Amino acid sequence: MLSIIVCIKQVPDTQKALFDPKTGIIGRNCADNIMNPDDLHAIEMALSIKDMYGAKITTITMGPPQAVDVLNEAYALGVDNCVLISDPRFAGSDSLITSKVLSRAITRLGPFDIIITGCEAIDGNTAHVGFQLSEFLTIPLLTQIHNFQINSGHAIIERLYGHEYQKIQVRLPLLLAISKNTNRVRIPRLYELKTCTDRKIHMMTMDDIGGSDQEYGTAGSPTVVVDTEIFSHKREREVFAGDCSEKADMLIHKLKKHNILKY
Amino acid sequence: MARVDNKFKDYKDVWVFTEIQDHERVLEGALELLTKGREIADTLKVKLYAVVFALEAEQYLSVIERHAPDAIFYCSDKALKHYDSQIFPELYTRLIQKYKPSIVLFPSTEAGADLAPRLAQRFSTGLTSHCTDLSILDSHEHGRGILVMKRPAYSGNAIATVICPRTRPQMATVQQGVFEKKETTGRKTEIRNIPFEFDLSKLRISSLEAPVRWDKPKVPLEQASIVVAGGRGLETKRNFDRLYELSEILGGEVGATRVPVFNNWCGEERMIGQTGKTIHPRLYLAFGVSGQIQHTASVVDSEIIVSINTNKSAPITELSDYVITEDAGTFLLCLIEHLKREKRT
Amino acid sequence: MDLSLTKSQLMIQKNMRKFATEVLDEWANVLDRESKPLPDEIVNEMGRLNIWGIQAPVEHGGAGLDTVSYAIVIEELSRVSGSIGLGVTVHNSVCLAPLLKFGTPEQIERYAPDLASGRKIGGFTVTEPQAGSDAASIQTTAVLDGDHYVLNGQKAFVTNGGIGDLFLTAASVDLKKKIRGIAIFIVEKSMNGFEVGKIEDMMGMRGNMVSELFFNNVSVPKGNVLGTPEEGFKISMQTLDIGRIGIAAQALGIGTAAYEAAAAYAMKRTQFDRPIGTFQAISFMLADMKTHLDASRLLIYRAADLKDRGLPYSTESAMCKLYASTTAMQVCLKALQIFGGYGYVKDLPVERFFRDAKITEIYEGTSEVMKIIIGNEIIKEFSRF
Repeated sequence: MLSIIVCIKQVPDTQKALFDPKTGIIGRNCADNIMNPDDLHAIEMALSIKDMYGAKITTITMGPPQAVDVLNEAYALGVDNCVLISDPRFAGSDSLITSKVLSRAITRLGPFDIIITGCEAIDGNTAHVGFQLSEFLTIPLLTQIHNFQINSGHAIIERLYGHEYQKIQVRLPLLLAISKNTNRVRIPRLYELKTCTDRKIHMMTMDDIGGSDQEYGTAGSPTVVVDTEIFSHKREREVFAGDCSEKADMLIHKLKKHNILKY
Repeated sequence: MARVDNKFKDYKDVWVFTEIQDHERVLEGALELLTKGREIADTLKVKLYAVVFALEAEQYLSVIERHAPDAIFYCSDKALKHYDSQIFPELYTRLIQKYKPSIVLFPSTEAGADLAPRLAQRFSTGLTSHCTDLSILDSHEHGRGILVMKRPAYSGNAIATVICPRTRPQMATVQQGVFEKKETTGRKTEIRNIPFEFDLSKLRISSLEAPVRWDKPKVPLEQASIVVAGGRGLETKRNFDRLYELSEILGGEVGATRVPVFNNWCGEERMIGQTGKTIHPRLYLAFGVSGQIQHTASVVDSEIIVSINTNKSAPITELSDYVITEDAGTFLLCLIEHLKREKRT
Repeated sequence: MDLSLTKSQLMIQKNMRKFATEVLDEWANVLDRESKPLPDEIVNEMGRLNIWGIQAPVEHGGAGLDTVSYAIVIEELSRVSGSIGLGVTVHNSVCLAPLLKFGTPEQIERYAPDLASGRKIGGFTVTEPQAGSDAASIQTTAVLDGDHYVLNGQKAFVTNGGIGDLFLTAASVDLKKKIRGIAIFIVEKSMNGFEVGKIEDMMGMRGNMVSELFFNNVSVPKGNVLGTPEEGFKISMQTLDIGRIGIAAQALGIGTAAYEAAAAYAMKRTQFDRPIGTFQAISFMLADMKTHLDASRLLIYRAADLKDRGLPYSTESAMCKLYASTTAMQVCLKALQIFGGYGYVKDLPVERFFRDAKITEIYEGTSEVMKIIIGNEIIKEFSRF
């Protein structure tokens, strides 16, 4: 039986932040906490593998106590075990330290055949954790998966890299980073939605993974956020000058600067 | 404060991961970073290094030189034809361990987004990604000449200012197009070849089939990252049909307001609006769309909105980043031609 | 008293809303305009989600949810499509539920798993062309002949009639005995002589294949009598108590959809230099709508809670159905007014909400019958003094 662990995160619903396009002012409606969208797709990936090959799926999240909500959602979708690693000493951890905590917890809970994460969290938007877990655990990371099969200890993967569509073979264990484009998340069944809040959540703290205070939290994080300012979404309303041809050139230039047109 | 300075006295110089695109040319973003890197190095009075790994790195040296690094480290080997996450981090790690740069900059590309976090982990140092601004600051609290990085957070609703005060190197990936590239002459550039040393038998990922060139498949309108839409202002079906050609070139999808649908210029599934689809693309180009609320409410979340309309006060201009006051059909033709010309060069 | 939903109920609400908006929404207009039922793959997906067996016990393939959760599911489905909500609540409340409540272990084992999984869709039929509110005067007969009954008659306005596999059918074993002669039979569409008649061309709920049913010497085994042959009317009445909570939730869903659409529109539509929602005439309408919808919700949850605690709830069930259906109609009228001309065109769903809402005041007991039930309770209560 394959053993899979999925790393998920509870985040504020930053994509619902409503702003007035005229004034660029943001409403405070991003207070709702949700499971990070990419992470839902990561769980779906694990469930698809379970449907095909049989697997035991563990879900882990590093967060404050209320992060149990995303673990309930994971149970509702059909995972087998949920772990919350929570400790006030983790507060203020940046992506590197988050990866360190998760990798230590995974080592304690494992071994696992497949580790799955979401690509990017909608609050931090760093997309570092997958790569840094790959380094901490020294296992290869695969992204942009189109097809995934397992054959005696190896994964046969079809994936997109740049402009190339590759078919590769990787020996287990391996790490997958999943994004919204990979699959469609199933809707949980009513039965699991009813029972998920009763299921047991395994708790871990800093004491369970070892290390000292200085390694974690704000103290251990090499990056420091010194300021956060609200970004104004006010539209520029820049009017192009010149004739048709000049405006076309201007538009192409702008699109390149916005990284929409490749050079 | 003096203690912080002493701790890092071994680390100086600015490095740029000079990525090669499609094994054909130096990435524009890398040239932009070299230009910015030059500025930062001059402010700090240190050196700028360009580091390039490629199949035949020699062919790129002259264009890199024109962007004024003090030195270029280059390594050539067929194993370096494409970015490989099993090889590049290892080679870079050795260089960083040996030469101890204070700042390492990467373009925010697929390769940069893989390489940078791996290196940050290996050096237990800080990385700030998708930066939209870089500057140097002398801070009482954190030390002199530290790199200050700004990047979007909260799905683009906020800008975070980040520093890496306690560890080195300070690392950043930077979005393409944020900085301008500039060629300068008159600087002597040292060229240093790094021999390729790597045990290829260590690789855990093996290729089963020759990779195939692949372009993105059609996506539903609601998920498209580029949408070109037409409205009444296009006037004829023949004009509307040109949108397909434009969307093909840009790699996007075609949408419409009520009018084209009711005139049978296209099917209902392309309608964007209250009773149709809601979109959140990176780019929304509106040709001949006046911008009634029933339509615009479904496009407000687009990152960049460009409107083309003969009426310079059409409601859609309120919502636009770029306003083009031209006849929609004429401009559409013109834009397609210019884009086709671009592709040929 | 804690009126808030539990974490689990909130998750059910969120996920049913997600299912309804992501999967069902694109079918809502199609079902209405073309008067056709949901495609099989959606019916199957709903089966996987336990939507065809929301309260059925887990051992029969259901989800075993409480009644408040049930109301939440129906509301969320109805918010997107009244027709879909109707099909689901009738199948669950007035077919599967009475089967589970009054059926023998053998009947339950034979029929419940198929119904709970959605492999078979069920309905409940009493009404006939000449017998609506006066349900006791049905004319369909069931004549005992050895080990089976022979059913003859005609039913009208059968919800799920056109697509249903199984119907709990009220027929009289002895017309002279009136109420005491009515029995409920489990009739399968595969039985000889069973025929689906005309599919009604209706003002609303057009995604439900409401139809006539004809019984021409349909042979129904004795083992298919639900309960005893004298209990039919009692079973009907208790079944309708269960059903009314679902219908009320359905009406609430339709009303809520209309209200939310109207409120959003009122703040986007500007006339005289301001959003029309900021004019008191409109905001007062919205205030009424919100208040009545909220009151409907609380009445529904209260009836649901009483039912789950095993307490009498017939009056409360009638009250919530009466109030929610009246509210839905009033809300839809106001919503259409707020939309103005745009409310009148088929491009927007408002006119569909309006057309769907009306029937909630009529079926499963008209509002007038609800008032009779409630009135009788009042008479009983105050007669002691």
